[in-house]
Amino acid sequence: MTPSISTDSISPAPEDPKPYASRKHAASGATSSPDGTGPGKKKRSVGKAILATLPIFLLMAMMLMGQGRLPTDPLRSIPLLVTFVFTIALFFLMAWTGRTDRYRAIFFVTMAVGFVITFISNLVEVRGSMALSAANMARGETPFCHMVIPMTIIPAALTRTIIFPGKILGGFADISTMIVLWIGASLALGRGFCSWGCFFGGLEDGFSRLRKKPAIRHIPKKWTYLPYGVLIAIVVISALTLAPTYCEWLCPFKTVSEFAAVTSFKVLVQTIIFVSLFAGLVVVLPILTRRRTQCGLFCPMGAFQSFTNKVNAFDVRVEKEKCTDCKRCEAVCPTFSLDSDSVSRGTTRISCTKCGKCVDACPNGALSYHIKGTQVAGNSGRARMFFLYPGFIFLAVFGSGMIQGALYRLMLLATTGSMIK
Amino acid sequence: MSGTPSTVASSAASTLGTQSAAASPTVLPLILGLLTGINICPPFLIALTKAAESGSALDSVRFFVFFFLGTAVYFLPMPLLGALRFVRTLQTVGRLAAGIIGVYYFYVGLVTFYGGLKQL
Amino acid sequence: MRKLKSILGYAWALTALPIILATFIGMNVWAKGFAGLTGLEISPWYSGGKSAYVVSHEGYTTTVNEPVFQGLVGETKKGFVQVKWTPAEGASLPDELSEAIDFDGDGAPDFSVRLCAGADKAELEATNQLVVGVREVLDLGKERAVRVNVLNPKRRQ
Repeated sequence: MTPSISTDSISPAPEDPKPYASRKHAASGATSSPDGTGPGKKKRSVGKAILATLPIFLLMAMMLMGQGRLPTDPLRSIPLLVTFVFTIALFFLMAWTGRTDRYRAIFFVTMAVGFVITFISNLVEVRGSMALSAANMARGETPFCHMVIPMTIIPAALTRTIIFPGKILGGFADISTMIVLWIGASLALGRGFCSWGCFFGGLEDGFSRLRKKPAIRHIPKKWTYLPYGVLIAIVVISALTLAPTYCEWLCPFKTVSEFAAVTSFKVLVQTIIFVSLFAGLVVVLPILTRRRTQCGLFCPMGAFQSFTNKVNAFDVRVEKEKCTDCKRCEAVCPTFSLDSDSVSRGTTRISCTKCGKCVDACPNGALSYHIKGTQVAGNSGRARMFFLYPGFIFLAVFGSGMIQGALYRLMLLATTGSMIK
Repeated sequence: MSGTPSTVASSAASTLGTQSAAASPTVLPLILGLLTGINICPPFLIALTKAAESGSALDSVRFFVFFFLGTAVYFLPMPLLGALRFVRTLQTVGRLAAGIIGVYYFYVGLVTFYGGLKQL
Repeated sequence: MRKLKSILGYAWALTALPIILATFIGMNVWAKGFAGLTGLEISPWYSGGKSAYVVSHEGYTTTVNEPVFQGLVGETKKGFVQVKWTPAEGASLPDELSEAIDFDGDGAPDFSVRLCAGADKAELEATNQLVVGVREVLDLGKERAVRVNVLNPKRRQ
């Protein structure tokens, strides 16, 4: 008989650990700051934080003002300026306070909401509805989403075709552009893409922060393997049927983007499935568990992206000398990437999205961003900045268009009474 | 037939009064082979119909010998894959994937059945 | 050794920012390069297949595509043929469209399809037993198309 998988659950949040001063590492000598960031998060001076933000300021100015001058239409220029200031302010706060996750999440959630507003408005403006017709698909008008990538690989290798009703080149979100973006993000950030890029993850990140305390704490560990099971299933079925199975049957995010027009019973069943998955995994469970349940317990793209962590320079490590085994990191990790096994090995599981939540949450500063090949202790601030620059630039450039687009639509609503032109 | 091959074989073995049959490396395959004929297996049906058509048991046996040789090719690398059974993560992932694919096949079966009913 | 690993680690980490910048700044170039190098196309199950022959009519043309039998390996038993009507420049399609189609290249028409303006159903008259039925009717704006399910003559027993 095969041994059964351990039914260890991911740890619930423990009682609040003892006050910092009474812990044996209190005398470690690291600075603590008035905002309670703890010894691992060194607060910079304002001057140093401004200096650290300057490269971001210049890079963002270069990327956003690609045309050389501001748009003349205030409905375009105001969103551009607001987004620019918003972006720079968040990076400054990250650099100044030493905290990562809180400010990353503010941008990440805003970007996800911005995506939903922009995408749906564009669809209604161009197509008249969110529904995707057979004609749209025949004309290759379906924007290519990164979630499709794993399913396309085997068919592309064997048939030299992409099993998706989009365009290879040209148009909005064409296949080549999205794949190039994904390759760049994967090389630079690994599964960091899931916390510094994926506009769907931002929705769950937002919902997971609504409650102060989780209502559901125990989640059996075996469910954290489901994304890999889903990945295998959809890759195999997609290859055999030459159709993107996840898109057709499972993707919860069709609820807030686009979906096939309900013209048959089969499509009705598919619609019920994806709406239920959205309600359950993206809204309700994140609220109740304070975790990103779709990302951590279902998303096959996340599972696929986990493997890119193996070829990425950055990871998150645990300094065992500082760790008091309070399990706070295990309790807060949104993607269930920390457990007692991984912490005892001084690292995270392969599914770590480098969001920084555990790093910020650790009361002893035992967790830190780390560059592979370097020492774990003593370099945390430097490694963090090495990661933050590419991570934040990707987040900001990828997401600023969505935020600007949403602001434009909201201003259009305020001035004309409709989000659609 | 429902249940894993070993549980089915165990219950068949206890019915036949041989408690240790399920554990035997010769009796178990024999029982499974007998049960496969009761379970609708297409290659088995082909052999049965050939036997009925030709009236020759020799033809049917020859069919099955070469069928065995054909399937044996796939079993050559299997013992190597068996080394992976010690990786518990792969066991869990495999079970979950099999569950999902099972649901998919159930759906395909339902659609095929419904399509067949419509034609009646 | 430890110092070398550390230097290599930092060097590797330093590549992350240039990779991100290069990705965004050179996106169009990389995308064109990717498309050109890989030579990938959209699967004919979605694109409708490649054009087999074109029939000219007064005011419009009919494009008949090669039948789509794409399988992961080899060909499938069932597929479809797309027939598309395109109006001439400045013109629009007539109210009734009708065409006799030869999809297997034997010179004899295999089916004829009739489509009325504004209708979402097409009428099919099959003369070849390989023709199964209408798969879907597509309203492509100025163009109209019909996809007809057919059996693969190469996979007939």
